[in-house]
Amino acid sequence: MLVVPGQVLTTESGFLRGHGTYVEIVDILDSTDVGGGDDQAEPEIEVTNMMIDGEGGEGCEDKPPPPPNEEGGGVKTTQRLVSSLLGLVHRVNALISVHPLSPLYTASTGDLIVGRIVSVQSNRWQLSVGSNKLANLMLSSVNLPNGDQRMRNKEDSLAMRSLFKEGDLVSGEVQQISSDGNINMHARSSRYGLLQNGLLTTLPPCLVKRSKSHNFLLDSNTPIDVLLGCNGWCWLQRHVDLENRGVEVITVEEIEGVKKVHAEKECDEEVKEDLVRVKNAIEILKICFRYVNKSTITVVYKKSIELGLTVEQMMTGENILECSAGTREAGAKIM
Amino acid sequence: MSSLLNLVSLRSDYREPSQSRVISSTILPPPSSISTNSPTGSLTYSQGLTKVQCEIYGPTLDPADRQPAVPTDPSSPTAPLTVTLSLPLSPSNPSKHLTYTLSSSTPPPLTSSVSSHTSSSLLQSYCLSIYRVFSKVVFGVGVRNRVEIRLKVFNDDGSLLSTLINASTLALATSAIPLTSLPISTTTAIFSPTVTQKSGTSTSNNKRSRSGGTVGGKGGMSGKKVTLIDLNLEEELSSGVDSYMVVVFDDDGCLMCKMENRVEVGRFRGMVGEAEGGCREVRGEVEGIMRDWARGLFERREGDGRGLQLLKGRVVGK
Repeated sequence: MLVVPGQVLTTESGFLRGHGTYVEIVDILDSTDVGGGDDQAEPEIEVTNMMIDGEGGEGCEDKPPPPPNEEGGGVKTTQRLVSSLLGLVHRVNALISVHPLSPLYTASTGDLIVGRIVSVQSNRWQLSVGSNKLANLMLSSVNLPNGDQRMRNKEDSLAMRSLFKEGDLVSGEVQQISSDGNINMHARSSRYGLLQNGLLTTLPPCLVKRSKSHNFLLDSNTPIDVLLGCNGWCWLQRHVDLENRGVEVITVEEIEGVKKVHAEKECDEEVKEDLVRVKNAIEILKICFRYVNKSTITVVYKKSIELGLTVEQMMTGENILECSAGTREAGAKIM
Repeated sequence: MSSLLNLVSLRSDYREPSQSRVISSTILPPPSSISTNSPTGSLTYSQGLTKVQCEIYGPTLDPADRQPAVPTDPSSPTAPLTVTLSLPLSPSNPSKHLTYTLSSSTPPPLTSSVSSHTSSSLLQSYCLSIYRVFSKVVFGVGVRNRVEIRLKVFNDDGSLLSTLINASTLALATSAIPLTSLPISTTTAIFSPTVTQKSGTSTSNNKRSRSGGTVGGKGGMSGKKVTLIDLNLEEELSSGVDSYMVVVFDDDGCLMCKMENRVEVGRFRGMVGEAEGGCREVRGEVEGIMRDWARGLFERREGDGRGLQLLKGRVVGK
């Protein structure tokens, strides 16, 4: 259901307010018992208090109901859940929230995001992530070279540009959203870190549904790794196989060595064509405004191969419509 | 000067006295690369021939705000706002604009009258009115954050302040800024049909400041006063128009009422009642624009492709 700001969602009790909603407490003056009053008169509504979404319940102390009117009219206090955004209503059991159709990314804890370094400061990097705020990546939230586990010192602060410098693409996870909306992220995992030797494509964040895995191999026959950031930034690179290496335990040095080889080794023509084909598949989904996930990308990718299209031919009008057929059902699957 | 109402009580643009002008809006797509300097939402909005552009920036962290992070009082939601308004200096030179910025950290202007004789004071009064309206409805943007509303006037054909407020409402809603309600504005005034003078000609007053009362005399239409809604420029500058008012309504009632001069209570109630009806009509139009825009995006995302078509070799939504 599409709602606009100020639209009442429900007046029943027992619902929890989620994002994009607020609770309004209204006093309805019941004037039907007043002597000589019009039976058809509408009750007057007086807004007395309002609880703001995310304020933690401050200001919503239970007030005792006002005494009834001496002339016989009563005052009823009731609550109603009101939408504060233009968007779609989502209901999960008793939780009602409104999801806006915003082109900006709204961060949530645990989101996998891709960002570009815009600033290197004394003990943190600042990244642009497609939001109206920059994300902060602290020096203590990244792995040191060679997997050292120690306190960061001044030498580490001075050597920050050896890890990430301005213009680098970095993947990480949202660790915390501060009270003023700032995004704090971390990259303390071998899955995250510097992104090199690949392609970046951007999408509206509303096309990326949160799922179990945002980092996947597209297809067993297609050696392309896809990193779908929840902020709509999508990274494509040649497949880096860290699992089937014949050893049980992979050390940090080995992982770093594999990533270094991947960054320095140039891609073959076939791999380049596959990368561009997957990128075009994502662009087709973006044009058609469909959800982007492993299923939909695979559908478009395979359709383009089935139709015998080159990467240039994929982006013509008719071929876009043909390749995107069947993506609606694929997008409905929960990955 | 010809009368504003013809013999069948229709205005010069064939509207009824309580009818608003045609509303149209174009919500612009977001930029391809979104950064902290790009607008969250932007649109052009026109009411009749009055056309404005509105851009919303934020919520962004306000570097000038050094106060500690204290939660806002839920009973009185306020949000630091910055309103920037650009008016063309003169109709003959539309490329040059006069710009004024009002934020919570700058002191408010001394005068806020509706009728102002200079462009700069008019600019300040409009900024102050827009700031006062939206500081009541914008909330939940986060502590130490600021939302900026940038407005630019392309053409002024009357009811400029109400057009600016309606455009800001639409832009804030489509930019996913939390609002407690939708403030919708319109203008209203009392019109007394002009009477021709004894010589058969009538005088006209091109100044924006209007004198109170009606032009008495013989001939012409009867002296029955009519309440007009959503005045255009010709009506605003007419000498027969009295008690000009800009009214802003939301779901709970009147948010703001700006009067040019004093109005008697009986007449005031009638005018506010008419304005409420006008606001209801405009609200329906504005909500329709919002729903059509959102529905178009939603149908493209969830649809089965029938919402798309080829147009000159490009895939576009139907």
